[in-house]
Amino acid sequence: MKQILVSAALLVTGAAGAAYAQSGQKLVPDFAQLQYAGSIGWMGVGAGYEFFNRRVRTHLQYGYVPPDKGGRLHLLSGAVFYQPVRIKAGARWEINPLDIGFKASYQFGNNYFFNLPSRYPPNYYWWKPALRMHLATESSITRKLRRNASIRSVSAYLEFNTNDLYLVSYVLNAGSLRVTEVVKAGLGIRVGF
Amino acid sequence: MRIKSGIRCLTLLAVLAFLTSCDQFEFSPNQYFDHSSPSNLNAQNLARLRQHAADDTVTIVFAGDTQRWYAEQERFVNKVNSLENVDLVLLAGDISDFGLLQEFKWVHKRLSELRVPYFAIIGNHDMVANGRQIFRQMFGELNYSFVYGGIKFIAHNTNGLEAPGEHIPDLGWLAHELQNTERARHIITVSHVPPFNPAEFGPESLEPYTQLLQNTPNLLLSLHGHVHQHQDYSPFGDNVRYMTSFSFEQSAFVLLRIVNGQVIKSTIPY
Repeated sequence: MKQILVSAALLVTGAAGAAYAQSGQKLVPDFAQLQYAGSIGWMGVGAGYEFFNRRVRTHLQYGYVPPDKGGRLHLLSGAVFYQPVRIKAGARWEINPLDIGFKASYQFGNNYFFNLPSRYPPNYYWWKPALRMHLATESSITRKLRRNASIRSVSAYLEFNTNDLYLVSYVLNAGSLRVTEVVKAGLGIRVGF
Repeated sequence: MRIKSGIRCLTLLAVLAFLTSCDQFEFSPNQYFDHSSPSNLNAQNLARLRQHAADDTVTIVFAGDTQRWYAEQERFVNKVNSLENVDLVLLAGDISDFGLLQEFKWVHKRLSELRVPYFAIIGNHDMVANGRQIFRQMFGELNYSFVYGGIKFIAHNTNGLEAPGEHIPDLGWLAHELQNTERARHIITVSHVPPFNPAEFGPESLEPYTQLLQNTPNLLLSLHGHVHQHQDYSPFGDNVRYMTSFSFEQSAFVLLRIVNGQVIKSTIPY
């Protein structure tokens, strides 16, 4: 488990570091975000980097669910998004109708195993309760700020996601489960530096 | 204009997401409850059952292992609703497949269409991740009993492999319940994992468990799920009749009519 977290962190920071080393800039993230819901925390804070002229972005997020919202839960998630379409609306606004992405979330705690405990026969449970894989979309609107400002842009976004276990349930049920039952939403604000 | 339409579009999306249902905003697949998850369903269903005047026949739909078979659940509900004189449905565990809140809600959404009350018993899959907390919140105690139509139903947790060292099954509780202080005419026990496989049931509790059942007068049936096939036999050479349910995948359930201590069994496909 630790190895995965470490390698995920290395992957994100390492790749970003390499990209920044070339351009000779600092290792500060390109953006930070605050997110409500989206299956990776009641509230979550994250930061990440953008690549290829902002077509690809990746981030890590820590999320928390308080006891009165169905927890107490701590989650760490990583995401990669691709932005196929950008609509410029004047000099200051940009609309991103549908970014597509992939998220992996790790649920901390003893109730969620990553490797099947040895007391079980092999393959007794085939999935890993600690790790969820999500497919996601994001729609956002961005307000660009002045070029020399410390904050480059502010975006508001609406995200939809489903995860591996919901998808398995959906696909194996011949239309009984509805899309609205397996797709979950989140809202967030992203600040670009 | 483009900005305005963009903003409008996003606003509309957000509002739609809110309106279709706030269930859309999920905090974690592992959350124990959300603002619309039901609670105390077993107690509510018991209250409904009590409103129903018992006659000399108690008719039970005996099923188990709903896990992940949602289309089958809808057909099951239609079939059960088409039958007259059913008193209650016993669901012998594995309500969910992954122990996730959403699954419990998906199953309940479908089974709540049943005309008769249903009673959930916890299965091993319902104990994965936060399943136990979810079950407790949604259905109630993991071990419970009630008397209806002169029969005492004793529902309990036998998923010992999920939590070693926690005394599952709770033999002290079970022994007390089997004493039948309510003086019901007959007893039916129901749990998920049957005591057929020592490694799964718990090698230490298997013999005391089967002994307890064996020493209980008026025990009609020991009902279980888990094995995904209907079995009806006495594997321990005693007088205890063990019966296991079909899973929902098999699109059939067992109908039990109990008249004066006689069990009349039929298999109903759907």
